[in-house]
Amino acid sequence: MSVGDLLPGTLELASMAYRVRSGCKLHWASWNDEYVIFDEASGQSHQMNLMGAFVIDRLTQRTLAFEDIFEELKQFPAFLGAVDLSGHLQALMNDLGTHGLVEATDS
Amino acid sequence: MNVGDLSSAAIGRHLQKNGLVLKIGPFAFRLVSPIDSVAQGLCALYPDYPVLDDSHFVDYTVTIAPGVGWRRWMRRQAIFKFDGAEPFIPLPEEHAFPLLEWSKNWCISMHAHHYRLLHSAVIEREGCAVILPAPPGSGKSTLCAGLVHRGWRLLSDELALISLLDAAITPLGRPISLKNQSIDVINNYVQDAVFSQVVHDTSKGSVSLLKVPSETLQRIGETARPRWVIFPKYVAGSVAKLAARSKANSMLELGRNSFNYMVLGLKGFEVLSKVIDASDCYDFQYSQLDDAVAVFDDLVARRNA
Repeated sequence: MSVGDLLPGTLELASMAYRVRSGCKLHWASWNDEYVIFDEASGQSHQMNLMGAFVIDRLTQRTLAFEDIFEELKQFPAFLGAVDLSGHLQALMNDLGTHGLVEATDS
Repeated sequence: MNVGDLSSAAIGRHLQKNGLVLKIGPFAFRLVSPIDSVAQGLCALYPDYPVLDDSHFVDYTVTIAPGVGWRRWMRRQAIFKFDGAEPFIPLPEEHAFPLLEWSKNWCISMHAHHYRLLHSAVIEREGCAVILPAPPGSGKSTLCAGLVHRGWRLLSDELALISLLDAAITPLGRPISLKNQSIDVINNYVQDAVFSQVVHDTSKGSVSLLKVPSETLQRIGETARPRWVIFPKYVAGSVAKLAARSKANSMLELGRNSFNYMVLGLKGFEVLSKVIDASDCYDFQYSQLDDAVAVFDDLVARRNA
């Protein structure tokens, strides 16, 4: 199941764990807070803002539950005090799933 | 020997027999065609291009052949043939010379994967290249034609050839394709401009090709480093204005304008990121060529400021 199959804001989304989609081989280019990620497996490039890059970076290292990603995000200086961070993160996870970069996992 | 050293009759004979082998940028083309307008176009626009020996290695053999059967007599056609295939639908014979140019574009964009190929004009000044990617109708070729007749060097009007090793850009130096009102605009802007015969009712409207300045061919071996990526747009009545744009988004746009994005994979991504690393990125709108030239000249003047 991809994250894109889930509606943002559902309980399922918040309780799921995520990882970079199996088979993705990601390469980065960055300029200040702008990022482009190239997936060698699909041949597609994706533009990322800081939050997207942060999440992909964390999920590249290990599988994380939505709540864990959210907790890490909250601690990140650039997002301190951000309004509706959870909503933004949910929308982001949906986008990343739709673009085939992350997938939900049971583990 | 250059094309200009041959008589028009000799050019016609070469084209009809084994073909005329020309060095065009880094490529060797063998051109074959019995159609008179092809020979006339080459005489007018290609006098400074080197003619290679018939035995020289050839990258691409382009044949612009006449139609066969009853088409020989009514609604005569020109057909692009390449390696036994006919990649395009036949066109009216009056379109033969523009068809030759479009065929060359096709050969390069389909095969020259030792370069990152962008659909883009490229010009250069003081060693710094400007990559000008833009969709048809944006005024890219008009801007490019104006700039290369006001001190900028043409590398290419249509295809950026970017090295996979170091992102340097190799000149292609072919005639500039102008369409519709742009033909008159440049005819008025460039003294003694040499055009091919205007061809009407093509898929792009009326088309004419502009001969490139001699300096382009004298320096055809000089590569240039990318320094700016500028997305131009003609906007009637607008003031010439640059607006900084996102580097990440510019990289994605270059990817969309790439002919071999999927072919090159990671190597292509790395090269594009080198181009963006080295470049300031802008949107540019203009309506008057003189104003546009001033803005571009100013970029060069303050590049190290």
